[in-house]
Amino acid sequence: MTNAAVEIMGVRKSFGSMTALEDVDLTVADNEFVSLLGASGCGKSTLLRIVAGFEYPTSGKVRVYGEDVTTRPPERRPTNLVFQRGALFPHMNVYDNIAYSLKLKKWSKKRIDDKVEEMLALVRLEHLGGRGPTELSGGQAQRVALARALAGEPKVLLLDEPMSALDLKLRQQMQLELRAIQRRLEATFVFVTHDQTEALVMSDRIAIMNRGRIVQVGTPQDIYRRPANVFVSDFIGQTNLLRGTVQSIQGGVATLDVVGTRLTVATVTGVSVGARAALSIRPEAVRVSRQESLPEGRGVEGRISEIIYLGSSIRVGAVLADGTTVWADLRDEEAEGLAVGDLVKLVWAPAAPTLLLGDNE
Amino acid sequence: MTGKRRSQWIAGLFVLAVLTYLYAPIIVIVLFSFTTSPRLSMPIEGLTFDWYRSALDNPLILSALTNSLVLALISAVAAGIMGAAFSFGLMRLKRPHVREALIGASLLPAIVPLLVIGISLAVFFRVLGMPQGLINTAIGHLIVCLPFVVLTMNARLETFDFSMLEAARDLGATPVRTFLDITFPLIRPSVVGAALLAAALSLDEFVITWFNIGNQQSVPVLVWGMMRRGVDPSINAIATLLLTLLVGLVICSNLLGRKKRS
Repeated sequence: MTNAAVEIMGVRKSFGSMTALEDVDLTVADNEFVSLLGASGCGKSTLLRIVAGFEYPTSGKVRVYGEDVTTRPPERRPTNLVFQRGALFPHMNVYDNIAYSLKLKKWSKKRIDDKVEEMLALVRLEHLGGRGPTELSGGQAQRVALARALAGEPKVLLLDEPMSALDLKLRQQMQLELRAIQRRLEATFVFVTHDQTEALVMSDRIAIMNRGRIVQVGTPQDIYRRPANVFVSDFIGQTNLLRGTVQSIQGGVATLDVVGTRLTVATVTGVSVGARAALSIRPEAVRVSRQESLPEGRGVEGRISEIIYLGSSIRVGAVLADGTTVWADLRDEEAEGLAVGDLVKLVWAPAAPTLLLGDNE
Repeated sequence: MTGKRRSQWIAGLFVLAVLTYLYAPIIVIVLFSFTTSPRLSMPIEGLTFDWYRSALDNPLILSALTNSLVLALISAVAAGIMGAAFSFGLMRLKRPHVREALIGASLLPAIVPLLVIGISLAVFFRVLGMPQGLINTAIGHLIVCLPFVVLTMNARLETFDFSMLEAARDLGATPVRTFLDITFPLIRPSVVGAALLAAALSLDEFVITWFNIGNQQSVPVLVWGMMRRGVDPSINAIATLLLTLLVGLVICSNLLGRKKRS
């Protein structure tokens, strides 16, 4: 692969008896925005720190644009990191913070001035060069941290949950800005986050991590629509999981027995008759119907237990015979006339569900 | 209304009484260092700087003062560097319980009676064949000062953001460069503050000094000797000088600490 920016090959990392990463492989392409997404403790930050050079892998390799950097100290890597809490130098003003890496590279004064100005313009803080880090708001400080990391023109920018300390409005705004900056600079970004929305909004591809492994890599659409396993479908967005046993596989369609109802779904590799599996359906794909007959293979019967008003939609929960609750997100007019206690049919389009092999039933 | 006013009066008087109790001896000493009467008696007859002059003319007092300042300087520099390095090392330890244990261990000498430390050191140095003198005393002072330096350094390093050091490395600085550009400028006020505290502790240390200094004199040891021979008013002058020095050091130490925190 000639245009690979970062290649992580078979990286393992253990701290004493604790294994933080198990055999991780990931390739980030040139100009790509990749998010490492996972709950805290899943190893995403450790992986990023291995790429940055703050940790060395127990085994495996890291390459940046073809160069093996596995054992190189951070100061000799073509990567820069934006830290979670900015880590600005408090005894230097904004200008000196941004200029720090350039001074180390012994750039001329003129060139440094131009670059710092360019960076300040990029993060829209043109007039704050003389401010001290303590005089900045949280959002401004993170912008300066971004400018400082980008000033040295790293080949790959690494970001370790840089917005986790900001409030929601500011975070949403900065997500769009960060994405725009990445496109404008045509740079490669690797972004660590535990916030699925953040990952969905910004990324070209998302790598979902769980317990030290990457469990799925794909575009936001791939991951949302075709989660590879129960963990991913549960982690990204809300989903209904209908667990059952595979009855038959015919012509690319698997039939599952879920609470006595036969449901059909496109089969995936590795499924065999008699196996336990789950059907994942997003709440927005589920419709509530009062018709007598259930459409063949794509509906279940339930009793409405909850109706929750969410503003832009109404979430209706219905309990199946085995106690599982299936959620449906409906528009106002679709939910009209529904009441708690109603016996209804929950139906979906033939292509809506995904078949998952359960890995954490 | 009057009852409330009266209770405020009583409270005020009580505060005044406590403050008088705390400061009266010190005020008396400072006052008598300026009075003409050679005996500690009231009323004050006149004011003079004679006792300061006679104190600073006395070669014994001068050499004691020099010794004390040398000891204070050694304590400040050595305890400052050692304490800072130790605390910094502690903060980088990943396991919190190991760190707690080591902090506890380093603070223990502050609880051990000075008498015990003084005598143990004297015996220890004798076993080693080191003659009593300033070197032994300086080592003793270091033992007394270090726990306090470690304590203040720890308190100030709690808020130190170590990711700044990683940021510097990430931006291309070698470990040495990182220390010079980031670590040192940021911890300097704390280290200097802790060093001043060490100097203050060393200046009025008596017990360990007495057991280890041999036939040399430090200011506290000299004053103690002079007191045994009757009250010489120049003692008041020396005590006032020492007091001024100590108060100055402690105030500077605190100011430096405050600046770091803001």
